[in-house]
Amino acid sequence: MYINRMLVLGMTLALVSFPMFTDWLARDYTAWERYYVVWLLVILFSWWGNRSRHPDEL
Amino acid sequence: MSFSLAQVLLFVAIYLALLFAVAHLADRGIIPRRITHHPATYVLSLGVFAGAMATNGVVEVAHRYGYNFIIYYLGVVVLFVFSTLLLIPLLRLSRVYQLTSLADMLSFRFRDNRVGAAVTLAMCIALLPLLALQIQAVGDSIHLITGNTGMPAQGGVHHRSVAALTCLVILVFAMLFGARNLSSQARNEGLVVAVAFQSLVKLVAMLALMAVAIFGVFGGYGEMQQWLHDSPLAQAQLLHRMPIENTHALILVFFAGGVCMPHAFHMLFAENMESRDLRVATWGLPMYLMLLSLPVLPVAWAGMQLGSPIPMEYAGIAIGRYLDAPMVSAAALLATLSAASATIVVATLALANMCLNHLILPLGVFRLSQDSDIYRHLRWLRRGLITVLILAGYLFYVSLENRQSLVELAWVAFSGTLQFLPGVVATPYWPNANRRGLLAGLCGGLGFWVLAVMLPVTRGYMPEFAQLWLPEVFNSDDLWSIATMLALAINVALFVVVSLLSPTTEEERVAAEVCSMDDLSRPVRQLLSLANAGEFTELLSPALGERTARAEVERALEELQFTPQESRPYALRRLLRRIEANLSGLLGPAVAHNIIERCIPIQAGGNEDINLIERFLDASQTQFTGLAADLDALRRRYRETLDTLPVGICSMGADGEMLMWNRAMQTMTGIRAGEVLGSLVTTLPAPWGALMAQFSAGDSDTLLREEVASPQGQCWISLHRSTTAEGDTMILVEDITDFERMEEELLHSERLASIGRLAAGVAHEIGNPVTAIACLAQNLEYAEDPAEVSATAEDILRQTERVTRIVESLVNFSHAGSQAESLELKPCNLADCVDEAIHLLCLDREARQVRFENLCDREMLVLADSQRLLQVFVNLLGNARDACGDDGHITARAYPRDNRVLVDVEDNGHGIPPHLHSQVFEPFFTTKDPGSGTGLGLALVYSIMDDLGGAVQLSSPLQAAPNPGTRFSLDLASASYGDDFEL
Repeated sequence: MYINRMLVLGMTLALVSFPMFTDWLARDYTAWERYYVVWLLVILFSWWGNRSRHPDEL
Repeated sequence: MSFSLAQVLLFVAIYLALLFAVAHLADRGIIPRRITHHPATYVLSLGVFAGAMATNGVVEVAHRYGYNFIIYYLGVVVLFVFSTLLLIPLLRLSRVYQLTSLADMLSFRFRDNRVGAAVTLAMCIALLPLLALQIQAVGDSIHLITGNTGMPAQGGVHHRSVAALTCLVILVFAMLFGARNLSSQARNEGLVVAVAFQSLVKLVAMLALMAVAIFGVFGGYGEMQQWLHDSPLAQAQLLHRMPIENTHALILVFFAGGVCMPHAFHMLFAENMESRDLRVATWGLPMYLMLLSLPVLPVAWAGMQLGSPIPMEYAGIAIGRYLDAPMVSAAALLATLSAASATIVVATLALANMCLNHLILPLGVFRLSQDSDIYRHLRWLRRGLITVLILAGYLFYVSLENRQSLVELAWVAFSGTLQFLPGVVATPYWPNANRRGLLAGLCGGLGFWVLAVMLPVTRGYMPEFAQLWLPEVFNSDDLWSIATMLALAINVALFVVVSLLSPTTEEERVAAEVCSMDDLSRPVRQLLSLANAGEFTELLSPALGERTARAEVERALEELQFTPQESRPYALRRLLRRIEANLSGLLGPAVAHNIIERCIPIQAGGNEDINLIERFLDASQTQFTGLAADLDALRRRYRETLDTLPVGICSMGADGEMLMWNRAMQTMTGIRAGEVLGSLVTTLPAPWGALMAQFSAGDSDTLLREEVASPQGQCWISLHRSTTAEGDTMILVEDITDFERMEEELLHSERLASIGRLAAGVAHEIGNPVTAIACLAQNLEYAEDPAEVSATAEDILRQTERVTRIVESLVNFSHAGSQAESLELKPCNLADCVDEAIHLLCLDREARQVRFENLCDREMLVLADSQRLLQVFVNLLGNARDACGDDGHITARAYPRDNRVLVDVEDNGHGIPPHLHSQVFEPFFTTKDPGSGTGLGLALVYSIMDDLGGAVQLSSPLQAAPNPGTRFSLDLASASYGDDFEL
């Protein structure tokens, strides 16, 4: 099964950077906007990774 | 200040009327297409996923679990960010096969009506809590906005009446705009735009609440942050971590909800007309959900700050009452109403479709009359089902008596729909899954879910045996997450084990291949017992009624741009698939498939439909990347090579269906590939159909020098055949017209050369009788005796006859085999022909003098063209003479055999060595000295014998040296005077 390289890269980056992000979020628990910064990064990754996707392409 | 009930109901009515208006304007096309078909509209319509749980329930979750409320959105965000894993494969299936619901998809994949029925029933049960949640949210909001502080009394009639009234208005909207279009081919414009509008209203209302919470309650963003730092309660709330297993369960549950929930599935796939819309949604919906989630924490904190007795789920109304700002409360109500109404409308519409396609029609609960308008019946059936479902949701809500929070109801519903996730994931990824496994998993998982989640939460009841079994589970505080994961584990375990242990049917295997991510669908070239496309109407009429059958066939013909006279098997198969797909959108895949199987005679088996596969590949050309793109480029290159070869190539399947027809064939025959491909070989225009059919069915792999009529005139072709391992026949058609014409010209030149060689002898021969005539004429001048004059005159006449005969022979010989004359087979006297040939050869005085002996029976007749046969004997006897020495003896002997006559021309010359036998009939081959012959004599003999339907064979040497000799044996058809014959 052909798996898109960007997908694998994204999942790897997420796995690798997960501890870093959780530490950053926990550092100041009242900085609730930080969650939305992470969310925005996810949206950006999704936009970039799906910008030229075709329905038949993984 | 609060609203009166009448004011609130008026507000609700006005809002829903506005919704009606938006939907109506979209349906009429008044709202511009660039808005209704904009990807943003589609993305907003997907906001239907965010029901009352997103506007109300999630505030309660934020209040209890702090940042963990984001998990409600996280599952859906992951689903869309990684849409290529699940959403896009499912979108492809749903569009190609017109699958509009989860039940359609699973019954298509597992090829069993029971799967669709089971999924539909289970979904109805699982969704009742979700419908009740929406109704409860609206009812409670109205209750609170009308000045009540506490929650509605359990069993309050007044409260229930308000909820019923709201349900009624939503029902009317659903019936008007949801059940209008029956086919999944047409998008419900009004519904999509209305749902998108509701999502926008919901978002704007929530953002307005956030602004009010921040600036109205706290006095500004900085003040809110300061309050957050100073409030231990708020900090405790933020720090309250959810157990990790609960987190995982929540993510999984909401991930599944994003695709398995019927309203989410419907908007995602059934209302998706453009693939690019889903691509935009991969980031558009996460963006929308992010904006929708922004107000949650500020509103929750504002609610905490206010310390209102109103439940946190309705904090927006509490803020409005605190600030004495009825418009704020109205905004909160508007958000709830938008969310709830959209969810109820789309969910019940999707469920109604499922019930109709998988319960009502397949089980024959309601039989459609063939004489009536099926479309009208289906429309009203659907509306009836929507009514029943909304009523069921309302009754379920009434039975709950407000004992459960919105969060609890949401959890029950979402954990129930989680049980469909294994089947959905298996559809594109696990070809070995079968229906038994799916049904076993569903029964096990849902059964456990009912016992461990639904009954305890909604009824406060748990069977005793459940409490005894796994007490550490059922008595745990985290029952909901443990029970949910256990139910899923039971589902998956049963699914896998039963699928592996039970057999998979051929139908399932084919469906699995079609749905698989890895395989290109390989349709089979089935043979339909239909003469043309118009016969579909007659065949489908018993099941659908004549009017509906005609409408569906005409629709499919129009979509494919075929005519009713279309008869090509390939086109008929495409038409069959299109009709089935359209019926699937109308009646569900199970019923559609059943109708097609019953009504259309299809012969089982067959090879792959190469034409359709090529079409799929051509359509997907721009979508291939990497190795697939390279392979496709290679395929195209080889295809182009075959297509541009200077020789004609065509191929047909074992059933006679034309699979290939290259450009050389088009030029040669004047028949375009588009007219041929997919049709049967016997239907090709004359003479090609009969020629190809006979040749492909014959024993010989080669057919040489066949004359056919082509657009360029008469032409000559040679056919060569080969067969592939799959039983397909490849035919190579070689145009040898130019070669034939060149050969004829060369042969004519040979005849003229022969005449030239005879010319000297002829001149000498003519000279003798002319001299004799001159002498006799001189004598006649002086003859006086009448008897002497008469005798002399007779001598003169004899000499003139001799000259005439010589000239006639020469003229006839020069004309023999002329291109201008057509072959004329008549009974010919063999002995006379041989005599004539001998006579002509004897005219050549300079040639070697040999003894010719004609031993042919004087009465023997052969069927031949006399002049061409004469040419044959002249060449053979002439070659024999050239090969003999001074004692040359050449005989011609004939004898009958069956219906043939065998003629042997034998000499006692030097013979022909065996290693030259294979070459002697080739043009320009000669063993004579250069200039002594053209090398075309025997080639001409071979050609003429072939034209006469006969054969020539060589035998040499006949005896030992010094005169081994040669024999040429001719095989001719015998004849008799009075035979009728044809050329």
